[in-house]
Amino acid sequence: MIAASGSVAAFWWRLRPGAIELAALDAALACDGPRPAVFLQGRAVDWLSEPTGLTAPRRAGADWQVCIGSWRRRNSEPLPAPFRPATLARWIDRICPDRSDRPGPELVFDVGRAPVDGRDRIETLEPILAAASLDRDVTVLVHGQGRDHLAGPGSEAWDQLADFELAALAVVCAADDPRPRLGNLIGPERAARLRDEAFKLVTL
Amino acid sequence: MSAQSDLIVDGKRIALDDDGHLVASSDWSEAVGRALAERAGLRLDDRHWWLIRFVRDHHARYGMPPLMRVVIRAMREQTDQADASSRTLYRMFPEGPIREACRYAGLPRPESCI
Repeated sequence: MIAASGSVAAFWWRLRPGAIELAALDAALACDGPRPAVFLQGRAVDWLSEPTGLTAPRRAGADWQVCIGSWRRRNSEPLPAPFRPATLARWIDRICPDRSDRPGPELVFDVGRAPVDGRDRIETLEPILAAASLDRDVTVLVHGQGRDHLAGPGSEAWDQLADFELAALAVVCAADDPRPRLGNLIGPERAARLRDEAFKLVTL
Repeated sequence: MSAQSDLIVDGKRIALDDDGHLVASSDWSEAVGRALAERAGLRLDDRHWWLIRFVRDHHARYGMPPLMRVVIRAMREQTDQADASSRTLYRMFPEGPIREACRYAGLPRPESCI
């Protein structure tokens, strides 16, 4: 994901970045202006210990931030330089300035990917909880294989969203799909409208 | 694990991790929670116990500790603290209300960075 934060290019990587993501970062680094910020969270953190060109000299100008919770789940040692610890709430506050005065959903999280494992299930939910902790107007749009987050062991963590009204949970279902355990059913047209109307759309 | 970090409660040795959390959550009892707090120089009152029980119940139900805003709302609704706020919670547990409540509730240190 690429997000504008003021005039600063901000990159939020939750999976191993590919050539397209790295090229976008390199392009941002080549521009005059504030240093681009990169936030690595969830499975992207697996990649830090691999020998890669992530911190090649040409990328030294980036502000490398790592979700400290994701790091601690995988490592007991301190975060190596040039990476620095950061929190999800602070990152979301940075990339999503408060726009509660604006009509339409403020922040829509799009969940269309099935969890790879229990850790991925939690690390998909955590950005949503972080936004909710900031009292943001949060809508979660679950569709396709993303509905697997709402079923099976570990899915009970998602119940918090409804039980404490932390976020509106919309689940895209076709007429012949099994009914999900959680959330309000919506059709594809309503889902498209939510995406269009969102002040900020984050794909998880 | 050094023996210095362990806790003795009612003659039983309770193993703690480097962060002072129970190694085995099944070792927890209210006596253990009280002993953990006293070790940190804290005497638990009714409000502390409300929070500790709330965090334990939330963890049992959802598999993770609650958000602060969830605790504040519940505290306003379920206790006589109608004006509860994050300040209220930090006065109870200055080093971090949720993290400290987890410790005295016998739960693991929260992994989340929220």
